[in-house]
Amino acid sequence: MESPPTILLIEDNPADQEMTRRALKHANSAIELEIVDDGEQAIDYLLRRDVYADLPVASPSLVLLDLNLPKLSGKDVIREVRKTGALAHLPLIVMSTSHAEEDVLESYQLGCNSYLIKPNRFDSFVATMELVIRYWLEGVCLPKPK
Amino acid sequence: MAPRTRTWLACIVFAALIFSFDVNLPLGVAAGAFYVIIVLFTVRLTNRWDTPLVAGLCTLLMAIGAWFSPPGTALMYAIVNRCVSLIAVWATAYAIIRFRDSQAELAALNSELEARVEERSADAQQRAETLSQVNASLEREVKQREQAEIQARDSQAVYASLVEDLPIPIIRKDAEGRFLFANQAFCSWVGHELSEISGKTDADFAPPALAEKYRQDDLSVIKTGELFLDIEKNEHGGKVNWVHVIKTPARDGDGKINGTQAIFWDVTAKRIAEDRLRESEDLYHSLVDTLPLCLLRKDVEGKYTFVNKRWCEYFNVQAEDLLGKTDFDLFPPEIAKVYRDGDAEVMNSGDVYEDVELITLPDGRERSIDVVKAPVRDSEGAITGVQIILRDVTEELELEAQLKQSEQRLQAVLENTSAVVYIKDAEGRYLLINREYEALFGVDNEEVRGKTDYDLFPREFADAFRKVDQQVLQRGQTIEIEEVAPQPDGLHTYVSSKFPLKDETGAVYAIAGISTDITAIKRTESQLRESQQRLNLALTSAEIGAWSWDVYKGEAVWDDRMHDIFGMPRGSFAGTSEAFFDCLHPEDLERVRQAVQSSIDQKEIDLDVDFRIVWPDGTVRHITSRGAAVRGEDKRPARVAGVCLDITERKHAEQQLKEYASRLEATNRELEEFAYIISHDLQEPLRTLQFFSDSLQVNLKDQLDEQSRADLQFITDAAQRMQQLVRDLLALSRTGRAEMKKDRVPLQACLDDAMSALSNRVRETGATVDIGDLPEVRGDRVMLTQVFQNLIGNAFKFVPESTSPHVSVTAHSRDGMCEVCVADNGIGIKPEYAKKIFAPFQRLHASAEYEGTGIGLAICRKVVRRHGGRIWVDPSGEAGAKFCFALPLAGKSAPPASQLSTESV
Repeated sequence: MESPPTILLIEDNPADQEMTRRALKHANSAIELEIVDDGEQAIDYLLRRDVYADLPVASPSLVLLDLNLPKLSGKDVIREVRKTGALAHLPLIVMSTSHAEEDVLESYQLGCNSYLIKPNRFDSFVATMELVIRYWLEGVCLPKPK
Repeated sequence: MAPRTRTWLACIVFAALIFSFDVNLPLGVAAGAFYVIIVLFTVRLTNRWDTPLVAGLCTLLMAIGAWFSPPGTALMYAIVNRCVSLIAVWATAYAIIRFRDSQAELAALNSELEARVEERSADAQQRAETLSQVNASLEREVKQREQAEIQARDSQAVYASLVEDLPIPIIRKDAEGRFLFANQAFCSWVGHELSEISGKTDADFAPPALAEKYRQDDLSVIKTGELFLDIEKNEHGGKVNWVHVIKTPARDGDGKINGTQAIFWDVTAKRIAEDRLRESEDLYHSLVDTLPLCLLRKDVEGKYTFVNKRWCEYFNVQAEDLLGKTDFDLFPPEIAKVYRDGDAEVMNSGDVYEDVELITLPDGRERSIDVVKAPVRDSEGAITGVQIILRDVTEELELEAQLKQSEQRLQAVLENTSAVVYIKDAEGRYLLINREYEALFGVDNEEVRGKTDYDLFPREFADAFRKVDQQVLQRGQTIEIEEVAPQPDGLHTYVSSKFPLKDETGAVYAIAGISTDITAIKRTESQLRESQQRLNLALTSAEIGAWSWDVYKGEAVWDDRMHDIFGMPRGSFAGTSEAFFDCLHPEDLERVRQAVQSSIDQKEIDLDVDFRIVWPDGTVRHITSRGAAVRGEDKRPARVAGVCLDITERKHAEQQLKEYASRLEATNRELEEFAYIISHDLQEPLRTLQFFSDSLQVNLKDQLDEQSRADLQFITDAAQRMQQLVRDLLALSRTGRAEMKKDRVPLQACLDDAMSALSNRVRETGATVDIGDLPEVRGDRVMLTQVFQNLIGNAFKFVPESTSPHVSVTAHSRDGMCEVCVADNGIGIKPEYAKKIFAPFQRLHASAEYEGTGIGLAICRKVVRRHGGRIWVDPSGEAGAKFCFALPLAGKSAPPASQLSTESV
């Protein structure tokens, strides 16, 4: 049996971590969620460096990231990921509360695949997760990572 | 019948008979001899030539007869016969002529004899008459002689008394020079009695040299017997006398010279007259030679007899070359003839001829010459020649022409000037007026002559005019004065310059006046004065200093307030550019200099410059100055007039205001940022709160009791409300912070956008919307759409239950702004809340009644204000609410941004 797909959540706020976990669980309990607290950890995780060096080489199927992160911001993370050839096509989905035009535009310019506003309500959060999973994990066809 | 005729008749008859015979008889018969008879008849004729004539005729008849006679004898006979007949006829004729001549000679001798006899007898008679005449004359002569003797006796006495009494000194001397006689005149002349003089000689009275001269004169007369004439100079008592002496020989009865007699004739007067004449002649000649006239005299033949020096100089000729010549010697014949004819005309008529002629001088110059030709007369008045006087009048004519021209100019000026010009004599009678005068006062030059001001104007005006005229007359000087004269449209003010006209002696004979209508100027002047007063008042009360700067001279004039503003004693400003620059703050000096210089360079002298000055006491003041060019007639700036205002206080206030504004702006910015940050950060916990309340409700749906579920619902609702508030606050904050566009925006388009955003609500509520014509404004389409959306949204929201909302949107322009009103049929707004409702989160109703956070109108106000407009509740709405807002129309420029940045959120 194929191992279940993994989603990496980069989010420093515990409430948000919990909300995402809860919503994802409601949407599809089979998907594994890996959570890191800041941008640096996220890069280490994705490149299997430092504390994550022992993890299997397989990368997550999808990354959900906040923009407002300690150490390395969400935008920095996008930039770093897109610089890494192996991760060039890794779907990066921003989940932010900011409606600011500059945030939206810059994120897309740096190479994020989608920019979502964090839903306030439980129902809509669940619905968003379902949508993301159906599209990015079940619908989209992507080149194989090298 | 006369004997001669008879004889001729007989001759013809006989000749006819003889001819008939001759013709009928044969040739050779001596019928021709009969013609002798006929010739003989002519003895009776007295005319000498009758005989040869008859003989001729006979010869002719003979020839004819010979031709027509029948032939007879031998030709020889016939010829001889005829020749003999001819000889006979002509011999007879000759004899008769001779006879008649001798008879005539005899008759002549007889008549001469008779004549002599007659003559002798007449002569004798004449002699007898002469003899008697001689006798008579002898008698007469005797009588005459008797009378002459008587007369001689008388005349002797007369002579003696005459000589004695004549006022002419007369003396007689004998051959030895002794005085024999001296008349009374001589005695009194020399101052001696006759008795003292008799027997004396000149040596007894005269100085020896003179006496000797007299003696020699006497001797000369005695010796030659001729008259002696001399003029002697005598001095008697200091008086010089000229005496004409006539000495004649005195003879005795036999005609022998026995002495002398002398008559003395005092010619002093004549001598003086002669001297005078000579002097006057000298004067004449010197005049003739020195006068600037060329003078020439010709005699009747046209020969030059005199030419003056001037003539020679003028024509550059020598007098010797002219004298004795005629015009024909000097000029071409055609010209000389003209001259000669002119001279002849003058001499014939005796009239003086004068004309100006154009001549060309030897050096080629053309000159105008005044030629006067006058006849020259001798003492008898007979014309002996012609005198020609030439005068060069070229300059004179030029002067005349100039004078004429200047007169014409003067005339033109007089006729065309808008001033009134007139000349009156000393009594105030008009001599002349110009056209302007005629036009203004309705009189013409002809009819005004001789009239006075009293004839033309009411008495009080005429009095005033006359008074001024008299002043001019008295002072003899120009007087300038303002005068008032009535005209059809009312009183007019004139400025009159009246001046005396003087003759050569300097006496004033007339007054001339030039009057210019200054009514309009006067009016303008008084208006100007008034406006100046007003300006002054304004300047004084506004503490504005006025200055004036002469661009060309570089001189400036300040009024008193300028001095006050510059902290200087009044009147102490030096008036130069440098004096002004010296007052400036060193940091502003160069800038002001450049501003002034560039305005001069660009000929745009309108100045507007702010600068600082330093008072003499060191105080720094802020000044603003504005100037405008005052252009001269030639449109070039001649002067800059301007004002200065001390704006130190204003500057301070401005500075303060600026500080306040920037502080306020900073505060506002902080507030907005604060609001943004707060709202943003508030959202996080709210989201969490909402999410987990929801989560609880979902997960514990069946485990919670009624109470707990209600509590959980309260939490969820509160979080929701809080969420909405924060979102609205963010929207309001964004409205204040977001960049605003300033495009031309058709309000109609904004309204359409708003209506499509509200389309769901329209559908849900069944609302109707009336939309009028909306104009274009300048602004941000998205923001303005928001305004419509909020207002119409409110109108939909605040309606009584079970009522369909009805909204009408109208617009109209006022003062460059457009007023848009949105009226509804809703629950309306109480007037006391009309202002409050624009404040953020201001709600008039419970949330349960009408949902909403109360931020919509606050956003509307924010948008409208940012567009430079305003928004208000119109209380005139009968039912429901009426919101109006005014925005600048698209044509107007955008409002200054600073006005908006100071607003609070």
